[in-house]
Amino acid sequence: MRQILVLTFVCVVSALLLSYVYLFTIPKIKEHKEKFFTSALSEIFPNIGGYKEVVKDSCYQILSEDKTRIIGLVFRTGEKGYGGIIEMFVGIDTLEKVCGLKIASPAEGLKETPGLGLKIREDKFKSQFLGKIKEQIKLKKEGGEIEAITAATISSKAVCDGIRKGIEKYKKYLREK
Amino acid sequence: MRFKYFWNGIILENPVLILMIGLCPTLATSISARDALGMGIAASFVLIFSNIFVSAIRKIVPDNIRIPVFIIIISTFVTIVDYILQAYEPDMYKVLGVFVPLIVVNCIILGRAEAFAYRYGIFDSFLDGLGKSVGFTLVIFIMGTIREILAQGTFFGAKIMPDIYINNSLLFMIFPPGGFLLIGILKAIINKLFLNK
Amino acid sequence: MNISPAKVFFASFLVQNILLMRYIGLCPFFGVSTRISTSFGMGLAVIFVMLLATLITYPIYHFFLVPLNLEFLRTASFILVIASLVQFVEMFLKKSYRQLYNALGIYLPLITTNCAILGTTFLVIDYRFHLLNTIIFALGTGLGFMLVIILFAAIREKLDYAPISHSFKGYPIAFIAASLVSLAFLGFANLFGASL
Repeated sequence: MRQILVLTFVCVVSALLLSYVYLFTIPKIKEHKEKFFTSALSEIFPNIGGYKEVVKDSCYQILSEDKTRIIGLVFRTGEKGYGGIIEMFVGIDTLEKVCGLKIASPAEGLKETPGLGLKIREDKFKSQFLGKIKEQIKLKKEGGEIEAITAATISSKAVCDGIRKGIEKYKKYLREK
Repeated sequence: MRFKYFWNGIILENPVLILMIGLCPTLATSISARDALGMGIAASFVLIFSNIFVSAIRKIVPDNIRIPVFIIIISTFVTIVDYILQAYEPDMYKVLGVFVPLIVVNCIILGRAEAFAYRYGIFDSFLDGLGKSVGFTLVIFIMGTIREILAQGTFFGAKIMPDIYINNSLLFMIFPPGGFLLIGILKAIINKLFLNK
Repeated sequence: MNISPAKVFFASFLVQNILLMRYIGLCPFFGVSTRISTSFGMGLAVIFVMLLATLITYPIYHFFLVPLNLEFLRTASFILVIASLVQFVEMFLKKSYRQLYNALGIYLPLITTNCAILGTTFLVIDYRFHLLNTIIFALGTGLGFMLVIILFAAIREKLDYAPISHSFKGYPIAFIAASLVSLAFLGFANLFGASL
């Protein structure tokens, strides 16, 4: 009898304590998750009139400041790199040219190796993509125009593949209202 | 005299290098000084509080259900750490990943609850937990620092090695083989210094 | 996450081997891997419990904790479920399958606090696998555990006869051997494009 009482007591106290901590921290945790998208958006398209979610959690139409036309797309795409999925937000303009790229940081779930694959987040690598169309976004040795990071071909290729697949998948939303 | 419970944990009964427990988090999260310190503090929080609480209720818990009670107490504190890290240190939480909930099966914590906190008073248990925590954190922090400096040439993210080293660094220290190698060497040094029988 | 079962298998079995690449489950690994025969028993017991544990915790999480918004009880409920599962399996084997019990019995209590089991049940949830991939992942992880622990026991049996300086005897040389084996496992990186 005493056993059951003690066990129940411990369980109830533990559950109460945990639900309190949970309620207390959950708004903060949600905030961090949204921050990735909003910071990516403001980095890729600094001045916009608004955006419209066309594919849930994945693709957003960017509207001009007077909200009359679509000036581009921002989509979320991901491809397996060396350590795990490389998640990124890509912006393209109406000519399907890449106009911005935001790759998740290690804090946002990127698991590439520091000093190697993690260099995909450096501007030197990322700036290569700006103004390129789908056909150009391949590693040089595959006939494209992107210089891979030394000793991190897998990560570099994953970024290219992710962007290409994303453009292919979402470009129709550039025309759709 | 009672402070020996504290000092014991640092060298003579160091959980990682002498007792050889708690190896998984030590190796997995010691890839940089910052992450190592984070893991050390997270595990210390759980160890100290679970020791205090186990000791506090040791007289009312019947012997035959003590293990489940320990597990509930430990997992409560682990979950608290888990959510606090997620909310306030999301960067670190993503790096430590699955090793935060895995603190619950860290042999150091259940081992101390069973071997010490269940038998001694609250203050002694607190000292014991604190000592073991410091011992654990110290080892993981030293490993994190060495691995970060050798692999990336940085300390807490700040460059401390010349560029020529950073461009040709011992990158393999950040991979699992580097971790195993380093702890093997550390253990050999400890054997030489303290266990020379 | 949608990923082909074959890739999940190779990733969990070799590329991201639970012991050498993820560093999960090391305590029993260094403790038990001194003899090939004991390693084999331990490996079998881990595969068996790992499959059972993921098969039980997966529905508990997805059909009980998530609908009730009780995700924060994940750690507590999983460890309790696994601990009681191991107890139950032990009693069941003792009663009904005496031979199997003789082979696995002594390893079962060790497994309760084996982070490999609990770690795997967390990982399948963090990776958002569907049921088939969950089973494949548990199986691959268990086989990977067994492969490495047996390989390693073979090395350690030979190490007993090697002339090693006093300070390096025992654990230090085992760690350094593990370092070399895991260096070899790094070579599996991106095998068949399998990584998670």
